[in-house]
Parts: sequence; structure tokens; C-alpha cells
Amino acid sequence: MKNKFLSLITLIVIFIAQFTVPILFIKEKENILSVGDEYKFYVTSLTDDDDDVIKLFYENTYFAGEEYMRYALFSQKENEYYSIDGLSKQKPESELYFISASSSRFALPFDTFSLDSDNAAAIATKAYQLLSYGRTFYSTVKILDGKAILTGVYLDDGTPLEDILLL
Amino acid sequence: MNIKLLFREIDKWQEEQIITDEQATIIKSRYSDSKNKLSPALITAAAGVIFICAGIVSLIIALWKYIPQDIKSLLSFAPLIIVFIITVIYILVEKKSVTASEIISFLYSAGVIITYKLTEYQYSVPSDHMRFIFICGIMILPLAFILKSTVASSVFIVCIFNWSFLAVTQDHGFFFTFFVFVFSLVSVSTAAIYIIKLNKTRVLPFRIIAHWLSAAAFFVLGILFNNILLGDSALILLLQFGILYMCGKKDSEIFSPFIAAGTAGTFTMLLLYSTGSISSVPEDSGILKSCFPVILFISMTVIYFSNREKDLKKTAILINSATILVLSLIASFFTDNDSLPAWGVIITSLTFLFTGIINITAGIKNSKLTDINLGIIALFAVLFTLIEKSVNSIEKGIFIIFMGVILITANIILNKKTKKHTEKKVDSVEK
Repeated sequence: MKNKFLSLITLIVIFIAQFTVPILFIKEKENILSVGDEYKFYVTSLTDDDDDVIKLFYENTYFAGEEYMRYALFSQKENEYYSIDGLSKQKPESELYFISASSSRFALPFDTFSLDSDNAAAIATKAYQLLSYGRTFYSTVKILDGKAILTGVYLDDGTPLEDILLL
Repeated sequence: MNIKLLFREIDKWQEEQIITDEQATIIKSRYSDSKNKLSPALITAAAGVIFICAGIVSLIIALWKYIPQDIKSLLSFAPLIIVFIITVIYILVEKKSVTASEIISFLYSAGVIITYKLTEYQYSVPSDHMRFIFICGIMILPLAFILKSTVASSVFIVCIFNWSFLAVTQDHGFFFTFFVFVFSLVSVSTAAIYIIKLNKTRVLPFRIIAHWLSAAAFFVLGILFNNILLGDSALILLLQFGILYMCGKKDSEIFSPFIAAGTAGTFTMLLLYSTGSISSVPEDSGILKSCFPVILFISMTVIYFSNREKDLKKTAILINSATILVLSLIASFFTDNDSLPAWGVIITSLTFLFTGIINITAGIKNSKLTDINLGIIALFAVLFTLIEKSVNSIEKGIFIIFMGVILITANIILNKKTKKHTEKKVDSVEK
């Protein structure tokens, strides 16, 4: 009886700890969105990855896939836009870095954009047309302590990507 | 009556040829502790339940975008809450069995991992894989002690091994690396000692189900989560069995988990190579990449030559693992993207087909459920490879559920037949 009670108490304590973890994940995300610095990156091209997912491509990402590179360094290039400079295994001293989305190979943490609708293919085609007319796209990314969250993708005049079909 | 002592005596009589092997089996079956005995049907029924659960999760993932936001948020936390409730009920229940503890422990571990993954996905939390596996390991470890479960300690070992491997590949400086080494060494040794201690005090088949579950869990989780912990997890399991073997457990059943893990391992390798997903392993380490098939092959060879009886089904398993070894070496050194060429997939599938048919035939002939189950899994491996690239996630989910249903149904039917067969034998000897 005593053992049963002890096991139950331990399990409840463990469950509280286990349940706290996803809540901390969500809190961390909210913290990044409210306190993190926002950076803009040029989107060089985009394709539809699924019915509701757009895959984004950036400049200087030829090193994506390099092994065991945890950190990516970036810096301001022109106007308010930033560009990725290179990768590092060591945590950079500069604040301008973000952590890879994958552990074994470097993967950009902000290269997929999820849509609320299923018209990713139509948006990608329209975006391709606009890019061929010389228009540009950029993404906004919030970064705090290396954790990056994609907050939006926009046309150069500020139109959100999901609204370009209305143009 | 001391059953263990009696069994030891029966083994001696058998060795001294006082009684025949058949008589020994009948006497053992008469005096075996039915409460603690684990039937092969139950083992694979558990594997079937895993498949069904994995299939349901796979379906939920495939249909995720069609589910309303509020329900999605609820679903993210549901696995952890459900397994917690099940565990509380289990602790409160008077009757307990090691089998149930291991199954609940497996479900709880899966519940923790799935909840964390779904939360990351649902709330678009920035993914940090290294942190993720560390948290999973630490959060699952207490279950090993609460439920006295080897499954939970196996999951912990795999997580910490993976985490420490990733941690030392990052350049964090000498002290961090030193800490990682010491921490990993201490924690993994503690868990390993715990497993060995548990195994010494328990009936052997329970260890088999524990490892069965662990091995199944890793490749199911791998399929669900893009092969995150796949190859190296299976390797760690094999090493774990190696440790147990080195500790002097010389009974013949020690090989059962090897075979289960070996099947899971070959299945995993087939999937990895046929889908080209082996690229998650470092590119500049051709030898490292071949480590898994090498260890797999060595384990299988040891099993093969340690067993007195060398029959066709054991030879088939050996040929299977040898084929995987050779093809993986070819893929590692002679191809650019490490995935097997079409002919390689065909050869591997054929060896699996061969192993499957041989094992099922031998199993039916000798009424051995373990052989039949190995055969069924080998055939599923072939089927899964065939449909892997051609079907969507929903169909894959349905296929995994189908695998589970087939495993359970086949085992229930075969178990009934085996029981009848044994009863007939006992009757004839008594007469």
C-alpha cells in the first residue's frame, strides 16, 4: 500500500514535469515573438512543397546540408535586409546568429511557410510570375538567443504572400 | 515446490538423456508458472498494438491539416494525458504483471515523445533536436523506476547516446565535452546496470518482450519522425544485448532479443537504403556508416554458430544480414547519395522474401510462433518497401494498422492451434 502510494505520488510529480515541458515550449515561442528582434531576408525563389506549404529559398544558402553545423551567422547587407554569411560549430559571440533546424545537417529554420488555404501551387506560380517581372519577396524572421521563427513572407510593397493572388 | 530448482533438474535429466527433449518440454509446461509465463502470442499482440497505435498516429499526422485548430490543440496534449490516466489506473489495480508494466511503459514513452512533437508542430515552436532528445530521455527515465521497466531505460539509453553523440560533434569546448562524456557514461551505465539487475530477478521471457517492444518502438518512431533516431538506435539496442550476453547469461533464449532486434535492424536498414534516408549519417565516414550492418552481421553470425541446430530459417536470417552488409558497403563507398540502386533494393527484398517464407513455413511445421512472427515481419518489410514511395501518408497509416491487425489475428489463431497441439501431446504421453 505504501509502495503504491509512493509510486502514485512520484508519477504525479513526473507528470507535472512532463506536462510543463510543452507549455515551456509554447511560452518560449511567445517570448521570441514578443521580445525577439525582427530581421528581413530576401527570398530568391519559392515553390509549393505541399498543398498548403511554400518552400522558401534564400541567397547564400549553398552550404545548407553541411554536417554538424549548429549555428549560422548573418549580417546586414543592404538597407534593412540581412544575409547569411556562413556556418559555425561554435556558438558565435555576435548576437546575429540562429540555430539549425536539424542536428546532423545544417537546415534553415525559416524555409517553409504554412498557408491557411490549400492554394500553395497557385501562389507559387503567381510568385514566379512576379519574380520574373523583377519584383522581390522578403521574409520577416524573429530571432532570440539563436531561436528563429518565420513570421511572414511579403512582396516588396508589403503585400503578404498569401494575398498575392488578389493582385 | 521450487520451480526454478525443478527446471534446473529437468535440464540436467535432459542433458544426461534420462528423459527426451519432448518429455522435458511437457514436464516444464506442466509446472511452469502460468501467471508469469508470457506467450509468444502476447508478445506479438503487443507488437500488433504498437503497429495499430503507430498507424493511428500516422493517420492523424496525415489528416492534421483538416482538423480544426481547437481540436488540434487538444490532440497535442491528449497522448500524454491518456497514458498518464492509464498508468494511474494500472498502479491502483491490485493485479500486476511485468508484461503489462512494459507495455504501459512503452505507451507512456511514446505518449511523451508524441506530445512533445505534436506541440512543436502545432505551435510552430523552433525546433532544437539536440534539446528535444535530451528532454525526452530525462523525462522518460523515471518511468523505468516507477514501472520497473526495461523499455523506459532502453529509450533513455538511446536518447542520451544520441544526445551525447550530437553534443560532442558540436564544438562547445573542453569542459562541456568532458561533462557530456562523464554524464553519458554515468547515466548509461546506471541504466544498463538497472536493466541487468532487473533481468536477473525476472523470468526470461519478460526481457524478450521488453527488447521486442524497444526494437519495434525505434523503427516505428523512426518512420513517424523522419528517421530521427533510427539506425544508431537499433545499433545501441544490439550493443545493449551484447552487454547482457557478456554478463554471462548463457541460456539459449538470450538470442531471442538479438533476433528481434536484428529483424528490426534489417528492416530499418532496408527502409533507410531504399528511401535514400541514410544520408542522415555523416558523409565523410564511410566506415562509420557501415558499422550497423557490420555489427548486425557479426551478431547474426554469433547466433548462427552458437546454436546447435543450424536449420534453413537460421541460414536465411544470416544470408539476409550478409546481403544487407554487402549492399550497404557498396552503397557507402560506390554511390554518391548512399541510397541503394534499384537492383540493390530488389536483391534485399528478395532475401527478405526468402527469409519470410522460410520462417513462416518452418514455424507452421514446428508450431513455433516466434518463427512465424519473424516471417510475417520480414514479408511486411518487403511490402512496405514496395509501397513506400508510391503511396501517401494516409495509405501508409492504413497499411501499418493492417500490419498490426494481421499480427494479432495470426497469433491468436496460431496460439490456439499450438495449445491444442501441446494438449494432445501431453495426453498421449500421459496415456
